[in-house]
Amino acid sequence: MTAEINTFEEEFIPRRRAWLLLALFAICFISYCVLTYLLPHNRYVRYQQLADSDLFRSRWVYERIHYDKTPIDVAIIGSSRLETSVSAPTLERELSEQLGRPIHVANLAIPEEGRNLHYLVARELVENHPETRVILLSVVERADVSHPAFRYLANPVDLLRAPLFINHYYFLDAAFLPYRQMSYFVQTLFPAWFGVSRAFRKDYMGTGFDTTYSFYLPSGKLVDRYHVMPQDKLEANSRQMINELGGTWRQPSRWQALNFPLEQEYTKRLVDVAKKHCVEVIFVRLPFYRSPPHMYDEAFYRDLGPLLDAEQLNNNPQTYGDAGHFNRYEIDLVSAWLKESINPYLSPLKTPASCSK
Amino acid sequence: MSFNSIIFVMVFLPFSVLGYYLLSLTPLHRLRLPFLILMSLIFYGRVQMSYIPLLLGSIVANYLIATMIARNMAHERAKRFWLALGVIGNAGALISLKYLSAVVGAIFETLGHTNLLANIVIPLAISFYTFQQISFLVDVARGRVELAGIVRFMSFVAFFPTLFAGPITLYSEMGSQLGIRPQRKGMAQNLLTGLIIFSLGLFKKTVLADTIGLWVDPIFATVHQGNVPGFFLGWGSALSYTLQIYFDFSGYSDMAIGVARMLGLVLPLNFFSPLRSTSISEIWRRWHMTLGRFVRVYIYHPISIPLARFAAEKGYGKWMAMAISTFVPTFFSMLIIGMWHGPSWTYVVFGTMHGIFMVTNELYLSLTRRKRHKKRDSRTAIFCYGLLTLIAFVSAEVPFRSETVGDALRIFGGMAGLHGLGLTHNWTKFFSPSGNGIMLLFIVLGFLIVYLLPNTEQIMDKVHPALEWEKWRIVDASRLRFTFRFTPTWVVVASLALFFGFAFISRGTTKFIYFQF
Repeated sequence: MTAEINTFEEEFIPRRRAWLLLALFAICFISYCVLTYLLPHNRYVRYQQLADSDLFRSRWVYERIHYDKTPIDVAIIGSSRLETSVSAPTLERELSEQLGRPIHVANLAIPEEGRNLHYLVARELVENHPETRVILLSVVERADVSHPAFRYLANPVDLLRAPLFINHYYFLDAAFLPYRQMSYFVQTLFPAWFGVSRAFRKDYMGTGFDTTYSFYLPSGKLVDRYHVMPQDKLEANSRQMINELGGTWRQPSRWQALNFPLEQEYTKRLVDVAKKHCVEVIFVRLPFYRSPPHMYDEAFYRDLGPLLDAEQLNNNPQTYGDAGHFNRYEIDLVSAWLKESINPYLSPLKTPASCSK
Repeated sequence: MSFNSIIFVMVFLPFSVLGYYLLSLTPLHRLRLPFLILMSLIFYGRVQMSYIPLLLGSIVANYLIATMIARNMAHERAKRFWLALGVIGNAGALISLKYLSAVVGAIFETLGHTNLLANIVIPLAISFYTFQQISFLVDVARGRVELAGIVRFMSFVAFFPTLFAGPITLYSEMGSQLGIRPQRKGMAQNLLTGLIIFSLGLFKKTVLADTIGLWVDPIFATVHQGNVPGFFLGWGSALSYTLQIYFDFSGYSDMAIGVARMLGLVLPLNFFSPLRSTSISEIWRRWHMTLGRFVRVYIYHPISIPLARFAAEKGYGKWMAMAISTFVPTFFSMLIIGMWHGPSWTYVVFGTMHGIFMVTNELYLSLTRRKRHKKRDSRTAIFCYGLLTLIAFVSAEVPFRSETVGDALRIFGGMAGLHGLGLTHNWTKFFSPSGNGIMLLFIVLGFLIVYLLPNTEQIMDKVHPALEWEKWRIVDASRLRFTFRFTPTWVVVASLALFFGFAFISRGTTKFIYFQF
């Protein structure tokens, strides 16, 4: 039998000294983390990090905002619902024809939900494109998550200033910072070695890039925007989405709102920053297939700005690539509907109500 | 939950340690072990909630059987009956849950039917907690341990630092430690010591093992797709994987030792610089030491001793007696170790290779025993032994890592030079972050760490880092010798290990390799 061992009997370090060293250990650890937050890096390098993922278009979004001098009058910000369904060139053409002057539209939507990323993109946009008049911001049934790209693309300060109270993502995002900051710092020093660039890249996808066309993901998988989902699958998919939302829609309780603070908090921040720059935020909801009416926190969004709901478009199975996304066959309808809906906000005489510009 | 996760480092570990000491230092101290059990179940449940009843059921059943064995110590037949029931029950559960679905699946597929058991998920950690409980039953029957209540037994089996991947502890070494109520005295030094050992382990896993894994995994994946590696890539992949699994598993073991130490408990060693060994039998005394100990005590000896008696009774000659009493059980034990890893032919090949190596080693020792007594080995001879041992060990890691035996054969072909040297002409790609030049650099760096630096326990020599440390501390000193001193400078450096280990979790750390076993 092993001789009995009691680690509490023998003190090989004086107790006070052990506590002091333990405290020093903790202080050093925290200091190293803080020091990494201060490491500088190139922001363009940051936006090239997701090149191998489904979120690879984040680089184009940055390039369109920072390097492309073409104005942006209408920006589309949100998730894949708007990315797949709103053709910026089509909407741009129709709005320009209707208004008799060039209107520039950019679809800056990035797949996946997460209002915190929309806030980042909106802020980048209004700070760099003062001509912007309208932001079309996606609204979905429930999206209380942190966008997976947020921790890669946000400034350290943004990550640390995220809502703290019952934010499931706060510490995970903050803990991500030390490695991210070191990695970005090294990549900024040796960009070629990591396949990134500090200077504007020549393989920019261009001003007229249309997010509604089919494309290949970096993994090699084809995303077919002309795909029509068979109706039985579509029905099943839709039922599943409704079930996941709790079957019948109820207004989120106070507790739920507390538990998932991101959507509301970042929507408010986004609207605030837009207002500061005289930009109208219009909420746009594109429904999933057979989505029940008003299956979202409608009152919250209406308090902050106009809300457009394309509920009438949710019944044609031929126009859905999957239950959550329209395919290319719906593009013209969506553009026509949007054109009519946002036209009033682009009138040259009209100034957003909250703006003193 | 895994040691190399943010949630473990930032939330679970501090909460567990704090809760354990808060309970221990107050009148509620009787709740500290139930608290430890609760935390262990949360730790397990975060990964595989559905098998918690199996874990609990197994613990309760084993404790009841142990009680029956203890009650019948004076009645040999009844004692043997309960022991046999316990061992067969444990082994049966392990075999049926771990191997049956694979065997039945193979039969179904051969017959052209759908495998009805395809969806069975192997219960996590079953190999580890089954072995611990078998050893417990045997030790109770041998009178080596006494029962001290089901709560203590449960906290021993489900103890979260060792639950998923060992070290495979014995009740005789843990039971009494779990019974000791922590005091204020020694608390801070245990926390500090444990934290430093944990930090070194985390660094090994997330910085070293996972970095090497970035090159290893794609190579084995392309080989699985049918590609054949050249000489350099073949050896590169085998050497890299050896380093990866070494840093991964020894890192895990360090973390387990560190977490346990934070709670005031000392665990047995699981690794002791095995890649510096000069014989294959030595490597197995220093690699996954607690599995080796289990197999030696509970499998090898029970087979070897009766066979030795049998050979003596039959009056066999020296070599025949040695073959029966040593070579056969040695080979069988290595095969068991191989197959313990899972129902795959690659593990059978791994075990067979090690069985052949071990028997060859025993044979060589027998043949040269007289000569070796007369003369000490020269430094060149020791170097050659070390190199040969490393080559043998690295070669056996190839089937261990490969998806199929075919994959392993393709890599062996590459290592034998059958597919050319595989030298690159694209030096830019060679030195890119994903290029083989970096792999080469890491192989060199990894082996420098292995050969030059002291291991974690040697670094923490002064604080009795593991059980039986007095025996191990005099073994195989590293080329560069240093030990941790409890001064501010050393603490500043040690906290860097935790910082890098922690930061690199966010790079995308992988599961511990031994979690699958």
